[in-house]
Amino acid sequence: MKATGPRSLQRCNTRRTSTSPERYSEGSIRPSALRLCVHAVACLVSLILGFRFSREALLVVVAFRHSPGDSISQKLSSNLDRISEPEIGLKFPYVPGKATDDAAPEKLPLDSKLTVPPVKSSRVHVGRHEILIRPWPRPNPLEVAVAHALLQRVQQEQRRLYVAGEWRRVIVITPTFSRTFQWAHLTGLMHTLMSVPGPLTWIVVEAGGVSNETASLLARSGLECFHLSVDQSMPAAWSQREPMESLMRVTALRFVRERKLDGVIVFADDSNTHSLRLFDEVQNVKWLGAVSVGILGNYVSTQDTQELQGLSEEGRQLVSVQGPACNESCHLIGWHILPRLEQSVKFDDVSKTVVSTKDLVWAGFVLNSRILWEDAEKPDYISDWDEWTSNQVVPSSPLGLVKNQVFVEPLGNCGREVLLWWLRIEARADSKFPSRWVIDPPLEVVVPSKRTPWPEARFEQPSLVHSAESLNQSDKHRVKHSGRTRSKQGARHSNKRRQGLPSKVEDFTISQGQ
Amino acid sequence: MATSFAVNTVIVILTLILAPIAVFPNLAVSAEPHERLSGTAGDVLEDDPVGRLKVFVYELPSKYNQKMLEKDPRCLRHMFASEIFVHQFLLSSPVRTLNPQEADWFYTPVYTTCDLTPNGFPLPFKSPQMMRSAIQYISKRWPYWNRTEGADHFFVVPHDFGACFHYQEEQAINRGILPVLLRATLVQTFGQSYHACLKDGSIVVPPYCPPQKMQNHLIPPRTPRSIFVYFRGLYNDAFNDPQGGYYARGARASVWENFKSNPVFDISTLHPATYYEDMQRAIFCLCPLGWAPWSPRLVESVIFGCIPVIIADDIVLPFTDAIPWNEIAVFVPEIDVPKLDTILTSISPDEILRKQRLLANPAMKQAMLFTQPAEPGDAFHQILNGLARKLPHDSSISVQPGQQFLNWNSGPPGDLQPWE
Repeated sequence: MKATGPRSLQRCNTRRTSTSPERYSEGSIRPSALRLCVHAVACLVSLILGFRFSREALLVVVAFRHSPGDSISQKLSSNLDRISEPEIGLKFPYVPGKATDDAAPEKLPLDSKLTVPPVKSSRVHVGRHEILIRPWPRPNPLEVAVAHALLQRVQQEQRRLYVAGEWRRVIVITPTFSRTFQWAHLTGLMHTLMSVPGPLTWIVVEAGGVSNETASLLARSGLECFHLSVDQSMPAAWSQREPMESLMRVTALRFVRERKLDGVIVFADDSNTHSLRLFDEVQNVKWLGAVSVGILGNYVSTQDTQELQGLSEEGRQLVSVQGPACNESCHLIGWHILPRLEQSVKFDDVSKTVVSTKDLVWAGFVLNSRILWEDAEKPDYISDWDEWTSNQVVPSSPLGLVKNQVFVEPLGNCGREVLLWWLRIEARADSKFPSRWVIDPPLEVVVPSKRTPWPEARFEQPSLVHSAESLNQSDKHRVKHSGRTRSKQGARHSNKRRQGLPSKVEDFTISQGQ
Repeated sequence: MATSFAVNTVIVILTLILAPIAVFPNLAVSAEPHERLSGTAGDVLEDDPVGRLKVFVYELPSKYNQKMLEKDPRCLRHMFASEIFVHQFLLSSPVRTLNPQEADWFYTPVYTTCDLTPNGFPLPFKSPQMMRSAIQYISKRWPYWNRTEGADHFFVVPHDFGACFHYQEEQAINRGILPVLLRATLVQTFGQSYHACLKDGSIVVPPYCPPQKMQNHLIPPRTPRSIFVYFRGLYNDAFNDPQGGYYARGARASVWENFKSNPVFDISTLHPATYYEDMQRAIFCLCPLGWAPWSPRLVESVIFGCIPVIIADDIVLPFTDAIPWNEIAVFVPEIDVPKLDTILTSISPDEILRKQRLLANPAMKQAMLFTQPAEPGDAFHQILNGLARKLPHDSSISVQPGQQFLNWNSGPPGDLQPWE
């Protein structure tokens, strides 16, 4: 009996202007003979014609009635006005013996306790009603904006009532470097941070020097930002990128220490996805906390075990989570980690993402910034900053800040809530789109076709070695504007060097901006 | 002398310090998330009926109650189950008396909505006969019915249109309230002003919603409310009303047509598994009428803290003498449905927050539930409070010898048949 979906009410739309003759048919208890005849004729006609004719026929009947206020023109003119009380209709409440003048089936003794209350005019009656649709049933943008403002106010009140404690400033540390998806990742992270309902400081550390594009993005965000840089550029090999990022993060931590910034430090990589619950949850950290990080993306191992392929016994995809492991009494007893895997990177298969196989990602840790200060009162189990950073090797996770891992606080219902997701997704290394996805001035695109005058020019996929070279070259050219002259020269070069495989990326006939 | 003087001064100083806190106790209290319904209406919710009235429960043969339940145990879970739970509550309640001489109210346990179709819908066709048969039974075995012709008896009739015993409104109005019940107090879920099926002096109660099921779906109150308007349900009844306009007096179809493309309205027919959780994430929950003006949505909105938007003209909400619905809910006349978005966005934020605070009052939520086992302040106690407020009975209710008010022969001939 349940309808599967709302029916189209187009018929009702067009019928809005017509009268509703059914009301008349319900009302009179004994319809007149003339009406019955007309109705029968109308039914026959509609059988012949193939569409319903009775409504039109009853318009004729209506026109001959002289009751006031019933004219069709009145009804046609008022689309949205409510149809006035029908003069003919079952009057409610229905008291037997009073509705019609005919002999009532029984007569009730008149006793004030028995009869229903005297007939008062009710606005509501049983029968077919118009479906009121306004002429332009689209949302009013001003009202939508007001609705969003109301939602914000309600959420603010909820936070005031149910979230205990004061909101500590969140310090977000993001290492980044120039690459194709940098703009996309940073914009996503920026939007997440702009939605955080509390004071926030964003420290962006860029590899290879401060770039104007990143600075303009940070300026657009409206957040309090510090834009730091590290002079070395990001190395091409994936295995070397982790220590470089750790170095960038430690640079940011040194900045926090020197400036004595106060708050809760969250390590937000630009390619991660963060839930807003994370920023609520990190308010609870005392010194060093750990959250669970979900790991997205398939990964393939060289050892052929089914668990490492991320499949359960039934063959369903499992989601890996890296984070603290707790026992029943919510004490930290260990860590959930991914075993260290050999990397298997295939650039031409975009479905495979690169998995950086660390033991524990930085993103899973949350610090109280006072842990870095020189002269703050810290408990004994906190190591000194100089001890931690004095090694030759850059620390690969902030676990070294506590002398014993027992003192790490598990957050998010003891690690059961996954509050952020780690997905290292990058474009093909040979992709030449600039970070801002704008090629200015526009290029002349030369596309190889089958009937090209240069028969030997072929489009080849780059191999692993060439991609590394191309990365180095792209790093050299920090200017983000495309060089028109360069591409033309490239095309001319390809004219001449048609023999053999092209060994440099810019020799391709598909010229793309740098 | 000096020590007594010192002691006196200490006492004086202490009283001076403590007096303000005694006079203004709120100085030390922070803002609470809920607000008490202050004034006469609000305090009434917390009244205790024990000691204020006595109820005598007739012992009817089990074919009127127990056997119906055994035939179909689904009666315990549908929205009309309040009749069964009220019976079970009264059997073990302190207001029950075994001495009918001292009773103020008399209760007849007859389960009129327990005759279910295979789909689970109650068939009301035999209910009038069942009710008449039960009343004939009690009038023959005890003198209390004839003493007042039922004026101090109450019955629980939770069906669509109460004691009219029909699911179609026209038919229900044609039949009217069962004539033999015209002097008794009816406890029903249906309420609409100036309607044939709502008698003066009836107690309107909420429909039964399983409290445990709703309890299981609670989410932490700090989850931000991110839906502005929420509704899940039918907009047209293609089976019973294929052309539209009858069902819900066209109001639900109007809601769909006007707001299906509105981004702040989350309305649809699909019933999600997170229906209760979504209501807790919404600010406004629409409660439009269907075939009858009442629905369990009202109870669910109140429990989950979502402000109910009542779209049903002339509706009488449950426990109106105890709950100030005007301050809690938003009433939208059916003719104003196309302007629903304007109406809802023009409510000031302070008003919305105040309504949410009133809804957060645990006494409000308790009053809407038929808790198992019964707890103070729940719907059972509100019914008893309502009955207690009608005491003492007017002396004119007793029937003089020779007088007769009820007509046992009125009604459609089918009703006059004996039952089973």
